[in-house]
Amino acid sequence: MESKVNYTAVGIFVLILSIALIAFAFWLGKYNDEEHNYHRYRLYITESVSGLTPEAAVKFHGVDVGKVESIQINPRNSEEVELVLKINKSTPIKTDSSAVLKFYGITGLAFIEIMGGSKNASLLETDEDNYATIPSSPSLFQRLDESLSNVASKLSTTLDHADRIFSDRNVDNLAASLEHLRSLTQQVDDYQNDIKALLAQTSALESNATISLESMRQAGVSVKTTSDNFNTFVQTKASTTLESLEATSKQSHSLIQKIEASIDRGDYDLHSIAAPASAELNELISQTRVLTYEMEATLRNLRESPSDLLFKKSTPKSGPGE
Amino acid sequence: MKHILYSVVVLLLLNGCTTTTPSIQEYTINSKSAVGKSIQSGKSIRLATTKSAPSLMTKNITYIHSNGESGTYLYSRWSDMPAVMIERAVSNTLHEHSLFKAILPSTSIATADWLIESDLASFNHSFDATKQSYGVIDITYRLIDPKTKNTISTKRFFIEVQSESPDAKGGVQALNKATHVLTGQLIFWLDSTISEKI
Repeated sequence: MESKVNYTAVGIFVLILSIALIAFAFWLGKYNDEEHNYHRYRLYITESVSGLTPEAAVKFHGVDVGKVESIQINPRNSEEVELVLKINKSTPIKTDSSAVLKFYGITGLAFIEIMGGSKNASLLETDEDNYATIPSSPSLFQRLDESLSNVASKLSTTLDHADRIFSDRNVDNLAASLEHLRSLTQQVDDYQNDIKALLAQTSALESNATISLESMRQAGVSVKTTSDNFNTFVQTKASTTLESLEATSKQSHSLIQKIEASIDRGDYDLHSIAAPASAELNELISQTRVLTYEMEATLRNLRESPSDLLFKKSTPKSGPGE
Repeated sequence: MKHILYSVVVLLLLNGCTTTTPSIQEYTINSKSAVGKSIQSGKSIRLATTKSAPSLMTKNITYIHSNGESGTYLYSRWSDMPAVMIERAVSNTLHEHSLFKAILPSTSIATADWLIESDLASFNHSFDATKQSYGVIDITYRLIDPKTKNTISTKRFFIEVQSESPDAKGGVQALNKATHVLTGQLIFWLDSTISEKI
């Protein structure tokens, strides 16, 4: 029996299938993607990119905008991982945008999330020859790791301090202090009767002080009343006295002025009053001195020759040419 | 009667005991001013009383020999004390020269800008060993500021003028000339001192 296979239908089917497979292959390989629709950026990450593979998604505020094109160790700095991101041109990567490594849940798969970028910031320019670098931010795990490290370090320091505080010696001292406190409270408890009595006395003292203050207040009121009365007295009775004092003061002032004028004129200048008399006195003294010398000479002559008084016995000595 | 008789006897007795003596000749210093006129200083000056040695506080004319013997002329004397005569001569000279606007005596009550004091040490008729005689004046003047009591200047004047005759008359003439020289030198000293001061 001959098969009734239609070889034409089979051939057409094979051709259609082949074409479909090839198309499927092209679609899968995204050969229709045009390179000029994408911009490339570099990203340097200092943490482990475990879970991140080439072709991993690049999201911008959760929206897929590209993929990771290549991952390699930065040849210039071995501490960094250099990523090249292929991102749609229409994506508004700003100069203040930053990229962070994120993970899909607990699967361990990673992707790059671009965040930030204020509305007023300028776009991050890039070109094919010199890719722009997007700044990176530490991922959640890195931040947690760092925080936990700090917390652990501080906790360790605190524990060291606590260990020193709660040393055996301090614990013993604390126990002794508690024991002393216990005995003190016991003594205080024993003194509570005395404290009650003291409080009662304080209360009595307070009431007495209140009474005293009231008395002082009343005394102050009476002093004020007395002061008001005195002011009234001064204003009424003393005003006339003050007026008479003022008149007396004016008269005294004019008297003093007259005395000063007399003194300035020299009315009481003792020197000018006594000067003529002293001059005359000086003259009298000098003449008296002369008289004294003459009398002394005469007496000397009489002493030497007393008879000269009557009979001129001695021969006087004559001078040259006499 | 007896009283009258006794009185007459006493008078006759006293008259018989008296002797006659020659009259006393009085001399003075003629204050002739030195020649010249000075520029008036516009100041007033008081002449203090000249102080002199006790031996010169008489009217006797003193003579001194070279051996130190001194005495006074018996029948000659000055009309005034030498200090008074010199003071008068200086005052007249100062008035003549108009060096000051006012010359005040020591007794004046007016205040003066300057005061001049003087100390007379010698005013005598001196005889040397050769019997030559000189009129000698030794006097020191001090110019004083009465306000501050400071001595502005002091000068001693020692003047000797030879006498023409070795007697009282010659001595008086020599001392007259010496006084004239003294006043001239005094004016010169005052003029120069005041010129420096002003």
